[in-house]
Amino acid sequence: MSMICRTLLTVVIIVTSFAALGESGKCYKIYDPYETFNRRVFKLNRGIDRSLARPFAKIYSNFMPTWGQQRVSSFFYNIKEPLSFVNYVIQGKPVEASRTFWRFFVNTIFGIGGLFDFASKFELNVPQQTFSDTMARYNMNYGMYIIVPIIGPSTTREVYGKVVDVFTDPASMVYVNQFDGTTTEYGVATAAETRIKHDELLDDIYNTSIDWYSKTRSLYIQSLAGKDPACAKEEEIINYDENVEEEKF
Amino acid sequence: MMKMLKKKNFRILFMMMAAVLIFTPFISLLSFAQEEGVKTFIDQVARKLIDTMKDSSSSTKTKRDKVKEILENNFDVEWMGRSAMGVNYRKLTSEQKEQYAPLYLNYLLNNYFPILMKYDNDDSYEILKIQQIDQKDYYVNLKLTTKKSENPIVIKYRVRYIKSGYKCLDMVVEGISTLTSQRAEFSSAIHQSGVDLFLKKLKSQKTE
Repeated sequence: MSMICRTLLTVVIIVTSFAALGESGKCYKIYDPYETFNRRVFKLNRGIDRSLARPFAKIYSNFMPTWGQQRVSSFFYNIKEPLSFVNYVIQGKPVEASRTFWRFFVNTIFGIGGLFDFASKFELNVPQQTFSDTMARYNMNYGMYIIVPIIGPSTTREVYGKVVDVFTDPASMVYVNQFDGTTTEYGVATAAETRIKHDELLDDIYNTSIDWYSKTRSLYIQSLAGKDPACAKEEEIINYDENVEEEKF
Repeated sequence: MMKMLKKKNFRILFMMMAAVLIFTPFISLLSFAQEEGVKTFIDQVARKLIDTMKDSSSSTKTKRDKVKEILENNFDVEWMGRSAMGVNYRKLTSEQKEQYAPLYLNYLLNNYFPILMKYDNDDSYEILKIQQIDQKDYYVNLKLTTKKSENPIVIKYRVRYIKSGYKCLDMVVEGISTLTSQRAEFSSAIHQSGVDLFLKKLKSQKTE
């Protein structure tokens, strides 16, 4: 890894460490203290997305048949299983860890390197985990909402998680050796696949929103909370009648 | 005297037990009937929407009008609109409230219709379970299997029984609530630019 990357990484870790010391958001509560700055980065990201990522995603979805898209998606999903296995072990969930192990084994051997998802046919389904999920499991709040340049919506916990994921992902370690000391190809490939997968969703959000930034933020925080078992009870107690004037029931 | 009291206490206890034994089956029967009612309601709404989208003879405009009708009849749009506005609803003048109601329906339609347009004839759904949240509301869990997505999508409909029958209040797709998102979006938009500009933005949304 080059000197620039190491320096950037150190800066990110220091900045986020300080940021995480302050007040933090939990479950469905939105904590976005740098909204003005985030909105600017969001706008910048949108420009990059419109001019580069989106055209690529459009070409891909138009030329690649759905069957092919599903194979690519399966391949990238399978490649993340070892990382998920490591996180289940850290979380102290042996059942899920073993299911993830067998899922990876079956799909890699019988699914031709993960192109086909045979494991689901044996009901070997288990959601994938990242280091951010592991931190959530140990009751760490998501910190604050941030927009990372190029990458997009995130939180301080997610940024920490991503950094740890890069170093603990067995797949990225394999690629480091293969590509002679760089994970760029692997990173670009997974990012491209993620962008393609969410192309229609992003279009829908953009076309139907009044305030794209806040809608994206709400969707992001809700999806984070939805994955966090500690937030499950909070979802049930959202008071839908709160603030509804002139109760009519 | 003590003997009399004991006898009386025993009688009360016996009557209470008898009441529990008699009414428990009725209560569970009532609860079962309510759950069945909620299930039938969601099943009917889903069927109506699918039939509308499947109809190849209808134009997009006709389909949109039909979906609008389904929304108006089966969703408590008025309540949803108020809830989406949150505390800001109280700040609206009566004129703004009048202006807001149809704009909200259009916004709702703009959000739902593009998703429904992606419906494929091979897609299927299955109602999984009914969950009572509190005295008023139910969650109906529906599993949607689509051609595009390898994994089924779980949708939770929040349903409430009101005077005019069952009404849908919210749709939670893979843990993401439509109403919570709207609340966050509307409150931020109003905070950023005020009610008038917010209404103007709602109005500028495409109607087709």
